[in-house]
Amino acid sequence: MVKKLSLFTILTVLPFVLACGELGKVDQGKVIEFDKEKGTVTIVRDKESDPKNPDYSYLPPVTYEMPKDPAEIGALPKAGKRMKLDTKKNQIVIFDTATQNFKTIAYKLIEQRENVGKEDPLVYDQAADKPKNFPVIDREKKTITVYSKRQKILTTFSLPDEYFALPDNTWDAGDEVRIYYKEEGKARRFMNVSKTDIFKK
Amino acid sequence: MCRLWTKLTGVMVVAMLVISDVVLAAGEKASPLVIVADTRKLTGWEAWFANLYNESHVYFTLLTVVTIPIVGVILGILADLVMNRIGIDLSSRELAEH
Repeated sequence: MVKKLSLFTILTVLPFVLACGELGKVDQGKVIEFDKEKGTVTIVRDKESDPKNPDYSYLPPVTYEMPKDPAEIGALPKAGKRMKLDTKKNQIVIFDTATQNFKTIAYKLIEQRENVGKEDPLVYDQAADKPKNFPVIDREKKTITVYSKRQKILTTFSLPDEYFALPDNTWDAGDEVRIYYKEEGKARRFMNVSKTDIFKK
Repeated sequence: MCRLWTKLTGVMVVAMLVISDVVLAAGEKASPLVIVADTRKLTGWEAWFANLYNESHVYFTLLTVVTIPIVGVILGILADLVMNRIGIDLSSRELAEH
């Protein structure tokens, strides 16, 4: 009886003792750069911490080293520079690598479709069973088509000529990622929120 | 008998390894499902518990497994106290039969 009680006490106390060490913190943001070779990811932090209304306006961007253990890394992220698509003001906010700051660009609306779900034929290729690639950049017609999964908006707009020299991912939204860290700049666990569906079998 | 069991176990292990390899080779390699609990808006014990999940699944499991029976015992004791207070005595039984 005494032995059993001692074992139970040890088992009870042990996890508390183990767990009493200093725990880490969580950071979340949108990926603007990802270097698979170097194992680094750069994010623009979400200022609001509200999953329904994220605010990607924290500067400067934060760079994290990816976890050393591959089992702690989820789906690899896609980088993109589009921070916000304001369809009311017809503005797009991008992260400008040259100035390391945000740039708000007014666009001329060509066409806009709302309530476009991620499996809508407009954005999903049923035959290939995979999402269509966005953004679609037409350098001849000077139009860009982007799809926002969160806002469920498919929009085509036109921009001044100079913007078409920028890389394609300037108009694409990077993946949203969540990082658990203890030491600044060193991720211990990496989750790709955009590509993780816990309800998918 | 012991040899038979050893053989059977060996065959099962090999079959499992081979089948899983065949299945894995059939499809595209899936990325591991990694989840980080969002503790940005949590404070106090909630933040601690969620961060414990982020820190180590083993510690989290151990703590959960140990906590559940302890909470069960505490709730049971509380229920006994409340029932005693309202006049329900569960510690003894008076037989009505003769």
